[in-house]
Amino acid sequence: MNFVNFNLKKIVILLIVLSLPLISINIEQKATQNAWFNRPFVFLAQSVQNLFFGLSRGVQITTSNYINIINIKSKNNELQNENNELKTRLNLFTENLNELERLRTLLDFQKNTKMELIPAQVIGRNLVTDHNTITINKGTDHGLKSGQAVLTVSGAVGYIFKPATKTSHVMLITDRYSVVDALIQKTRAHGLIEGKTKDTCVLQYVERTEEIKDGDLIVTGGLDNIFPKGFPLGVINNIERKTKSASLNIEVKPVVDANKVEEVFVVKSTGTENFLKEADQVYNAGKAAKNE
Amino acid sequence: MQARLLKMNNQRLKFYFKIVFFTFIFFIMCGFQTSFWPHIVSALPSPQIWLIMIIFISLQWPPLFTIFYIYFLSFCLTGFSSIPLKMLWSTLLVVFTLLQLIKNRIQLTGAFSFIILTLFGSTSFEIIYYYLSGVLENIPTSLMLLDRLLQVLINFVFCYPLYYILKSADTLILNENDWVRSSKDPYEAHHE
Repeated sequence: MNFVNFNLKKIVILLIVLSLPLISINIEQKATQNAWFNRPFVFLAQSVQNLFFGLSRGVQITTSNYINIINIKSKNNELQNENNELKTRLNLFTENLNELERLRTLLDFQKNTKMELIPAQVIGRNLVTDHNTITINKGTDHGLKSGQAVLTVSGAVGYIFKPATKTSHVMLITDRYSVVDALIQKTRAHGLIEGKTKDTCVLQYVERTEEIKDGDLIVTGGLDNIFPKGFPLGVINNIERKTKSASLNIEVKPVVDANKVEEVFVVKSTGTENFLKEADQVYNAGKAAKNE
Repeated sequence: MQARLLKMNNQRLKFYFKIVFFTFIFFIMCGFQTSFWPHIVSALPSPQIWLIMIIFISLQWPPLFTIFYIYFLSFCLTGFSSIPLKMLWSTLLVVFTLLQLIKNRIQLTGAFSFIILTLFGSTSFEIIYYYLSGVLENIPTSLMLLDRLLQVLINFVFCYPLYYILKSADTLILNENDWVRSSKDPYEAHHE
């Protein structure tokens, strides 16, 4: 009989194999707690799990960030384009608003004055620096004549000296050949404004005794029958009192920068316009009171 | 013989076309300086490209014809500026004479030579204008040294590209040698 000729080793192994599940059933009855011998394994498992979890999170975050960046970038580009377009429109509106304001001022000036004015645009400057002239887009066809005053709402610019049919040359008050009758607004002293350089004029034939200082306003005198009386010409920049001269040498800075002027008015007729009417009345009244 | 006469007439037509073309270019240059540049670049003075063109034709074209052509161009120029004709004619005559005197003394060719001569021409224009203004005008112009220097500098900057444009137009329409031949009477040319 081979009953006793069995392999003991194999039986033990078989028993262990079969008993282990039975033991494990007994262990799992206390599911809320890990058995003392289980803890190291659990700890290891946790560590590994945490590691992989962290890794997967990192990959997830990186991937989602990358995808977000692409989305943000494209969204950003869209917003930037929209912003640029809005900025351009805003600039356009601002420019239109400024132009509207400017044209409104011009229109108000034209409406509120007794002078007959012809609006014109500056289309050209002179070829050489020795002459200070501008070209406007109105000529004899529009009723312009030589000697007519050219001004802006801020002040006098010059006068027409070479009209053609469609355009005209305007001699600026800063040109060396330009001579304009002028008046010091404060003291009423008359003089002559002559052009000197492209941004300065000289006021001549003002008596040494006149009490004037830098910053005083010079206006048109009205005696030359070109400009209406009392229109701003310039501001005193420098006063030179020469000992051997009976008059002052006064440097004047024009109120209008002719290099930046775009629109002008040509005075077809001055009417009875006098910008110093009220000031004249006050001055005369004061003078009469003094004489009494 | 007939073919030769025909060729001569062709050259004569090219010559007339060249004059008309350069006059047209001159007007364009003046318009650019007075009406385009000041509205775009108001901070700097505009380049005197009409003067660069006058310097170019003074150096490249036959002298006798050129001086009369310069007088004609100066006449056209008065439409763009208030500069008196006497000032233009006298100043440009002196500049032209000086250019004729020194052009053969510079041992350089091409664009570099033109740059040097343009610099000389622009500078002499400003100096001569200043002195002639004191002689010929009732109210002489002021020195304005910085403005004049800046003007010469800007002319200098623009002369280099302009040289190639003018040179191309010059040789394309009518070569100088053909011009000299075409100025002769076709009958005389045939009998030579």
